[in-house]
Amino acid sequence: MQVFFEKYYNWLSYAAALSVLLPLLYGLLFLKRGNRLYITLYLYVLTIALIELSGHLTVYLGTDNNLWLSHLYTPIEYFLLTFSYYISLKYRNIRRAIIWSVALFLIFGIMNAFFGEGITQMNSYTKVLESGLLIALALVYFYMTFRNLNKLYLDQDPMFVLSCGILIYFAGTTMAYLMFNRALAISDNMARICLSITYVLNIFFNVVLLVVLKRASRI
Amino acid sequence: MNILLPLLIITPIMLLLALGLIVFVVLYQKRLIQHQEQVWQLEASKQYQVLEATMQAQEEERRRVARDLHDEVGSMLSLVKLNLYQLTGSIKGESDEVCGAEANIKKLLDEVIGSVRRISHDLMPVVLDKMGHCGAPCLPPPELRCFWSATTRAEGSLQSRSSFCTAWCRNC
Repeated sequence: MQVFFEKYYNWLSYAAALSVLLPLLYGLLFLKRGNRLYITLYLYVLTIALIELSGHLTVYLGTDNNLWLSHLYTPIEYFLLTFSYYISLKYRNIRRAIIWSVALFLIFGIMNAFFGEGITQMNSYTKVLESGLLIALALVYFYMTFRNLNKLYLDQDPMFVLSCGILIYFAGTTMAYLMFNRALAISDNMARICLSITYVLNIFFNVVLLVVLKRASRI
Repeated sequence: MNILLPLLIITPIMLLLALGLIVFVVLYQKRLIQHQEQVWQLEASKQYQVLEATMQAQEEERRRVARDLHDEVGSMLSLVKLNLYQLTGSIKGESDEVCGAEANIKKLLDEVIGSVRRISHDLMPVVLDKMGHCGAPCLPPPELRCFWSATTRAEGSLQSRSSFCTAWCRNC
């Protein structure tokens, strides 16, 4: 395990950070003729890139703790992903539920940051709640796909691809984020195991975002 | 390391569940679409059958009316015309008035016979026009059939058979 941390962990970390360049650069090509969904997803990719850049900058500047970035990033991520569902799902009740969930999630995130886990700790509970809500939204989208049966080729639907990505990414990272603070309290390497899982899934999700942008540009 | 045991156990399980769910969604959606297509095909086939039955009934009715007009009314009129010829032939020394009336009646009878023939031809089903009269019950009499088959062998085309039969029907 020590060999992995010494040799491959840094490479994995850089690969995960740089993988966001794939959807970021591809997205630039069709940004001018992009629809609302495309622009929302591109904003999401841009947010990921900015947060990655900020993380590396804080390390470069030598700050002790940059976990506050996660407290900033999670609500923005949740808002942008749910907004893409808001655009795609035309049902009034679902849209109303999405608006309410964003408001409640924002309150929960702020409460957790200032009165819960604290800004210097990973926002595990917020991340778990976000995962649960986004997985629920992905399942709602699948249910609507069954109900409407208006899509013959599911792999051509950007929201279906995004829902698959969300399902895998958030199902995979939930436990890693939940255990992160406890693992970090024991040792840095324990926390790195959690982060390694997250990095692998980050690379996967960035590739999914590339595919989603490709599909969304054709709508 | 024990603290990470739940992470190492639950994460793969959740990933497998997520993948399984996606595979299920894709396969189930495909099955639903196939089922939907089958339902559409059945509905289309049912509609086609109803349409075909309606058209068949309509054509049968047209054929019956045309046959009645052609065979019964037409032959009755021809008989009337024949009787008129016999009647006028038996009257000797007819006056100009009688001659004029006779000519007028013959002319009117010819017009009526022509109209009956035209109406009966017009009533023939569209399918018969397209497929040719030879495919229909309107076959030539037995004495003409050998000539008809010789012609069809010689011409070898549906069009010639059709035009021949049309000509025969007009002359009969």
